[in-house]
Amino acid sequence: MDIGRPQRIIEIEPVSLPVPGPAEPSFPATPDPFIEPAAPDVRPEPAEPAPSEPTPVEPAAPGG
Amino acid sequence: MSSSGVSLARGLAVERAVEPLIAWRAWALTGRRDGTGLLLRPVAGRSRPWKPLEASEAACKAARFHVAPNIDCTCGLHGAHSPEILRKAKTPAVLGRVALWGRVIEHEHGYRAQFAYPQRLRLVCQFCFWHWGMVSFSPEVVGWFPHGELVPLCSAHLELAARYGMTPRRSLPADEIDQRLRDTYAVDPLAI
Repeated sequence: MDIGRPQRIIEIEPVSLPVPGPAEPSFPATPDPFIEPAAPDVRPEPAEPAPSEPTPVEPAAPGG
Repeated sequence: MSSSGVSLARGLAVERAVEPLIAWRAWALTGRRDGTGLLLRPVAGRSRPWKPLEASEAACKAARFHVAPNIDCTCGLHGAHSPEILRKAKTPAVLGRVALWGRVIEHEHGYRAQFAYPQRLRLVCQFCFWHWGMVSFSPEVVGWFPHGELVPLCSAHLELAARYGMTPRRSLPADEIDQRLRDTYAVDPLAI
């Protein structure tokens, strides 16, 4: 193919290369795992410690 | 584009640009017997295929010590200003538009470039293209020949080729090969 005589030289540095990238699948190869919605954080309030009853003190035995 | 210097070789102006040039080009086509493994190849000197999804880079066989394209050589990846000039190409199978960049030498009727990648492609019946140019060249089959050469042909020229002993080992549907070629190179169809 004869394209004639040279006319000019052009140095072209494209901003983006005109080469397509590898084809990406239109849908994910594996389905997204189903994630259950997190349950509301309803942790039970720590129970108030019950007021301790006074330990009955045995009366000291009289005499010895 | 702005003028920024002068070539020492021939006094040609050197310009700089950021947009690739778009030109016309014809390719030969090879593939497997089942129509897979499609590769565009130069119509002359078919040893170096244009790999899918990779920029083709010019290399010069004639001279080991110059970078292609060289002003004093014919090396480089060729593109034409007009598709008409491609009617003289040897056995074209695919016609298309090609992006050219890097070092590009513009000639009277086309370009020689350092890098290139096809942008739009279409199969052509080479005999229709020789006879009638861009008017009509839609092939109906793609003949598979020895050495994996794929030759798109219209039904009339398939029959004529067979009369001259050019019978393909296998005939594949042209529309499927056309689509597969575009998928392989991830490009759009050439609208004519």
